[in-house]
Amino acid sequence: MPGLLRFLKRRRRRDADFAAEIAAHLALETDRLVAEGLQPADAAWEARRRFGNVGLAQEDFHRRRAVGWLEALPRQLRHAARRLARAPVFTGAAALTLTLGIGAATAVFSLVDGVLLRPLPWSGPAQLVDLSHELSVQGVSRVPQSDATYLYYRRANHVFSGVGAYRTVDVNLGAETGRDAAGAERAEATRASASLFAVLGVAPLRGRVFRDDEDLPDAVPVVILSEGLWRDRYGADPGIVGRRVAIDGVPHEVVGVMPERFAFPEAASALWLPIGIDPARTAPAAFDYRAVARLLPGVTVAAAETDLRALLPRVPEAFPGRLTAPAIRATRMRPVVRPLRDVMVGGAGRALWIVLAAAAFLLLVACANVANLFLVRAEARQHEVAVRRALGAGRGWVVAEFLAEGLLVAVLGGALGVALAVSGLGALRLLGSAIAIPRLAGVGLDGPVLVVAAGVTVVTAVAMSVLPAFQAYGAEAGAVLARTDRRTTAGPGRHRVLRALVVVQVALALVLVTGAGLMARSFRSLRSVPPGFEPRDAYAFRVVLPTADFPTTASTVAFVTRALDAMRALPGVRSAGVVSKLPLEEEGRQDTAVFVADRPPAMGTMPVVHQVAYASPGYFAALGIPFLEGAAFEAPDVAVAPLEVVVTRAVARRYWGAAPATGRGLRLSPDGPVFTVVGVTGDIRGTGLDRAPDETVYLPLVIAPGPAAASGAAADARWAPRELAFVVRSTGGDVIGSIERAIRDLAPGVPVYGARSMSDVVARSTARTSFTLALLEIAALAALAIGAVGLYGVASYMVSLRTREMAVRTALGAQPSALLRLVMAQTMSLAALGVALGLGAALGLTRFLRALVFDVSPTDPATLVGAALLMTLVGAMASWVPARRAAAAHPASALRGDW
Amino acid sequence: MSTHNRSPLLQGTLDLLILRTLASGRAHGQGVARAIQAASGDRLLVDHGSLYPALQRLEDRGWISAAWGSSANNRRARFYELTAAGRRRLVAETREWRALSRAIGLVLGPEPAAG
Repeated sequence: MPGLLRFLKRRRRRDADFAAEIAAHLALETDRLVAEGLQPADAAWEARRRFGNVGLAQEDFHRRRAVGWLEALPRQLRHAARRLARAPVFTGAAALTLTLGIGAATAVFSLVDGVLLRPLPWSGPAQLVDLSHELSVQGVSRVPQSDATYLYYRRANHVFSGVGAYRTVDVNLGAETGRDAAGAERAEATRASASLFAVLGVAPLRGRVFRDDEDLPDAVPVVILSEGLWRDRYGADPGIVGRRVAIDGVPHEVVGVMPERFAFPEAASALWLPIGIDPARTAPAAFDYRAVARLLPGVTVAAAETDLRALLPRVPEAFPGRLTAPAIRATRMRPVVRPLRDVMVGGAGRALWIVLAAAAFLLLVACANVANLFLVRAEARQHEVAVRRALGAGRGWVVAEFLAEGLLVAVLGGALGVALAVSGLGALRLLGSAIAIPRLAGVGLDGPVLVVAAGVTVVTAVAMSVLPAFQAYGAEAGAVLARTDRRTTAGPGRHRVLRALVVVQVALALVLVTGAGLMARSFRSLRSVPPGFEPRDAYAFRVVLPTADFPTTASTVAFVTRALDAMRALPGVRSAGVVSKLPLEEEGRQDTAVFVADRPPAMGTMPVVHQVAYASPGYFAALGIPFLEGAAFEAPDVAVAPLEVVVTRAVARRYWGAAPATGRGLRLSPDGPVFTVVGVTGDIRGTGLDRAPDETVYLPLVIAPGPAAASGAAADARWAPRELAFVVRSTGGDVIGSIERAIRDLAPGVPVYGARSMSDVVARSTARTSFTLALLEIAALAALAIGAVGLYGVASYMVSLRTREMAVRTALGAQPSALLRLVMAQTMSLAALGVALGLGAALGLTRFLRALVFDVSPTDPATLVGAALLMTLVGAMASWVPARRAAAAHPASALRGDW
Repeated sequence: MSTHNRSPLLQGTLDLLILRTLASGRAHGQGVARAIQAASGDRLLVDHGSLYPALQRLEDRGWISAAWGSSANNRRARFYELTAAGRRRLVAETREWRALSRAIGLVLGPEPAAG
């Protein structure tokens, strides 16, 4: 510290002050000489003469005062630039390697930063938690909230400053009065409690948020718009608050606009409607809501969980209904509190961290490689450095020189790397939602990311240039100068660092190759899982039939029948059907307890929960779902509501094992009517290709009131779902356009949305695996290439040092093949060491892939062996070329050569 | 002026002489030069051109401190003062110098009678 203080003090004294001191000296000396009897003019001259060279003293002062290296930096950089320009191959190779490394690290870090690290856009995001329940029931492991649990937790908890509830619904935005009816569109809406806005702590851009009394179902219909919807659909109308907009055919008064950043629960949320919960009429066992709460200051997630666990058993008392105390005990239902961020990021987090680790590995490989290039360069400059040293250059000077080169190369690589990252992220955003990474829209190269990129660049520069600098400087100058030629063969110790770096490169590259290999294998097994339907040539889109246009079940069924007929009549359409939920998608999912007629549940146990879907008979044919037993229902007819179901093979196996399932009976409520199984389909993996086959019960499109009663339909009415997916099988071409047109012609006011080919749906369901795979593959290939180049470079360099030795050996009768073996053995021993270390590291690290791989062990021997073989092969190829060169050394030329 | 019987300073001794001179009180550069010359019975000649860089060097090392002030005849001058560290340094260097000169004296042998 005192050193630093002195340094700063020294910096403060200026040249002018020093000049003034000299002037003062001359004046004092003149005074004295005058006192001794000299004439003033002579005295002044004499004083100056005695002082000597004033300019020299001042220059000396200036040099001492300046921070030498700092002022010399521009010059150092200029010289370094010139030296680098004279060695374009070295500079190009080093910069390109770093471009790969820094580019990958920057791109992936910006992903991790945007998705995982950046705080959620709401105020005090660390205190926001998601409330749900875990339970032990066949078919379900987690449920969110029912109106009753939400209301009770909100009222009775001791740990939250607020609790908000919401559920997402899709709504039809009707055409505006005086506008073209084609303006109807489908929008993602969120039913939200008034408290939700307070919990998230975001103020509206215009107007207000909901009031507590608007939570009730019979309140005046109001709506809050998102900034995006307000701009796009309503032209940022400044008078929007108070205007009426038609939602699902009902006019709603706009009370507010939420700013862009609110985006809750997701970026696509377009509007918010009141939640419509009546505390007097709850359905305690219908877990249709999600809840977000804000922790009181100082309350931990664990403490909040403890509090809720004490509250849950009292819910049945406060809200009597189907959620009974015995049911809570039997299902081992327990509240779970999770940080909101974890819930929102979901499974993407692990994949991103792994990709980030891969990018860091790649950066390390790149650094090791460039450090090696610098080392070789330093070796070549050793003589020159020794000469400079003999002429008085200090250690600082030599280090600064190497550092300047390192800095230039790193900055070049860093700039190119950032450019690479920008284009990479651009490509990523094009993939968009296909890769199923939340918060992707917020990912970009902004402040923190660029700071990290710059930091990585500088650290890289220092790491790769200081070592060679010391290597170059550390060599005893006298010894280097005495060794006026390179006649001697390098001793084994001289290139220890060089070799070590090559080994590290090979080891890291092997780890990456192993990771990519595992992902590739697991992706292949994932794609080879039969989904249970034939995605090729199948197309689907969704519609919602508004109550305003289709007031009765009869009218919806009539429309569906007409639409299916119209589609079947289209050229290129083989078959068409309709269903309430498509496989591999969440939209329209419904779960219901199922009671097997001939097997009543034992007392105290809970019935098994299964997915239910409503389907027309054509659906199975259109999606290519095979029947193992029986057949589909009859065509939907509002006059007939058959008590029939089709079940998937998994359901049939669960209840009746290998015995035929057709003819058996199921109930959807303990005292409801019995549905007869008329058909059994093959297994359908509708939740995910890596999951167990779905246990789905298919109901006919039109059903009798029994199961419909819970949905609020009048007791004597037929019921049919209004949110439907049409599925069409074409004879080979893309028919999406023509079937959408057919629907629009039939019912212009019905929004058609979510059109996609089922092949896309399957691809999308494996997108995260394929995305991780693609990134790991890129990293592995780059590492492999860099590692090979590194091995090649070092082998070449070693050979160039030993050319003379080789020539002597040849002259003494060594066979070229023996020389080849000699060089190969030297390089391959490095590669082998790297492979061994890499295998060890891979064994230790691939377990982090466990959550991502499917149907393959993280320590899969075949993959490990394959990766090791590949790495060895690449190493052999990289050393073959220089070894050939060594073996081909002609004795005469080498001996004659000017060494 | 008889300059022939004056000796230039030995390399490295200037610092020691400056420290010693400042040990008897604060002085400006010119005063230091004069004092050295006078104390050596006019035998030691201080090169004024190298005096100031030397003062700066000692200041940088924290052995002396400096401040602008007025001289006896009312001229502005930069006055130097020994710091505690400088005092310790002076003791050490003096001891070293004495040991060195004694050693050199031993090597050279007894001084021959003035002839």
